[in-house]
Amino acid sequence: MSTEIKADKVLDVKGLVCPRPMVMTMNTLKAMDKGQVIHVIANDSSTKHSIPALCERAGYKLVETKEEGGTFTFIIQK
Amino acid sequence: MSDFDFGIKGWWDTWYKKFFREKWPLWIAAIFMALSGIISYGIATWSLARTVSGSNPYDQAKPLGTFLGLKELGGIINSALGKIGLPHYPFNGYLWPDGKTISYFVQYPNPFLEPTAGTMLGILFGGLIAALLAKEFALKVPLDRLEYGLALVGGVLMGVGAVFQFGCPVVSTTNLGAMGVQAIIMVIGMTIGSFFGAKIIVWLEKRRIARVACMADGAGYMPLMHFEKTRTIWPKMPARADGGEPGGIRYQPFLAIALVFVMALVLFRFTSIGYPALSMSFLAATLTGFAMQRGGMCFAYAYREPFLTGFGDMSRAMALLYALLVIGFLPFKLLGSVSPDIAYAEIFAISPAGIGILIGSVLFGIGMALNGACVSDSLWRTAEGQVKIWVGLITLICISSWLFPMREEPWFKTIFAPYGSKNIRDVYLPQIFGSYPVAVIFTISIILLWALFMTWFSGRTFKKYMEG
Repeated sequence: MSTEIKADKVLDVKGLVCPRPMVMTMNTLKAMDKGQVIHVIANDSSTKHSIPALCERAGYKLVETKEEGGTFTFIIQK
Repeated sequence: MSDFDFGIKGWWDTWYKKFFREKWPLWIAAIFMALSGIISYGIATWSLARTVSGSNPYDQAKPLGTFLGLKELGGIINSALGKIGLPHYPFNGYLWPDGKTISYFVQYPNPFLEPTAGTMLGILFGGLIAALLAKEFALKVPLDRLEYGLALVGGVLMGVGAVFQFGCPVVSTTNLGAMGVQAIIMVIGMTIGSFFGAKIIVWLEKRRIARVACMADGAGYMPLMHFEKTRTIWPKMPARADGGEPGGIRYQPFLAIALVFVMALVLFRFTSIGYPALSMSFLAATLTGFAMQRGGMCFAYAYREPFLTGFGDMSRAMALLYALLVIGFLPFKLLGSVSPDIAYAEIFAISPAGIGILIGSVLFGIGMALNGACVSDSLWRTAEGQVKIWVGLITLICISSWLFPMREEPWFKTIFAPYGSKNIRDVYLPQIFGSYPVAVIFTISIILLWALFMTWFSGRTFKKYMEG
């Protein structure tokens, strides 16, 4: 499914540890226009909880979440 | 028969996914952590009774904490590096309310038998089991210099802070549950420190994201902001060509089960040679590590996020944990009135207080915000294979072990922790208020106020983010 959703930005934060993936996701989303899509790729387990919570609270649409071998991909529409 | 098999398999898959794969709600994790904290307190009380009755003096459990154990293990590293610090600090015995000291410990036979060393290893082990059952273990080596810089600076600040504040955030939970003045100062200090730590992170990230966004060249099919600087040593990715999970991931739950069997054998052996209290204490800490990994419970997150990203859910979960411990410890504290021999159980985990606690907790708060984890957070995240966290943790234990002897100096106690140094009951809230119910209400009110403050600040931070 993810390949069908064209991303306007990809934020690859693998290797960065909490809180930096979350802060970067928030900062990048803040700079994007409404309706744009971002793929966030992370491998810090804290993102499993924090990024869905961000989407729910800020009203961003979490289109898809994927997990493979400790790497998480979040597709978010602002 | 096949329907029956399908039913069992379906039931098992559902519950396995719910319990071992999906993240637990924070409040569930907080309840599990509280339960293991209360069990630890109970085991410590029981082991005290055994010691008083003359049973094995070395089998001494303590309430949940990690700092002294880390310091013991840090001593081993420091000794290997050049015999700095005390490799093996003797425990002088408990100071009883009448001023006498029972010196039943001369020295632990082995640093690993220091009670909180066992607790520390238990949290590590619990985190590892949880990560393997969830297939989340991966040995990740960040190649980003800033990550290591933050870990080193954070580790040094936490190491100094831990010595000054007499422990780590897990100690603050036990101490707050035990109604000590020290913990209230720690909570205030770590909140202040985390505020400043969050400001430093915001400043660093603003510079960085602006620089990398300028560098994004749109290569491939979209503008890419590529921060990936990590090497996953194990398991090898990407996945197999047929789309299946690589063996390194698929077999992680089996490895977890094998480790649990090994642990059971080791604990059985330890119990049979005279260490039942330490073995049970280790088990209780394993539950803590397991719950922390499953819920993603993180003290650094709870203290930092209201100021950084505007999330206060973890702070509220921690407040629930604190409050449950206050109530859960009470029965053990009251046992002293039934059996005077174990009156010390009433003041387990209480430490002297003073300006040193505030200084230490502010430093610790900044350090854990920068490092991304405190001691117990580092343990379960170390168990997930996050190598950056190892750097912060090893720095912390070396620094704290090196500085620890200073804490025993008279000048240190006089300047930094004068209250309760002579009589620990001077910093025990029920003693200060002269009433258990008043002390309980006061402590829970402080916890509630802290939770309300963190919630209010979270809302403020998030509002600024949305409007900014």
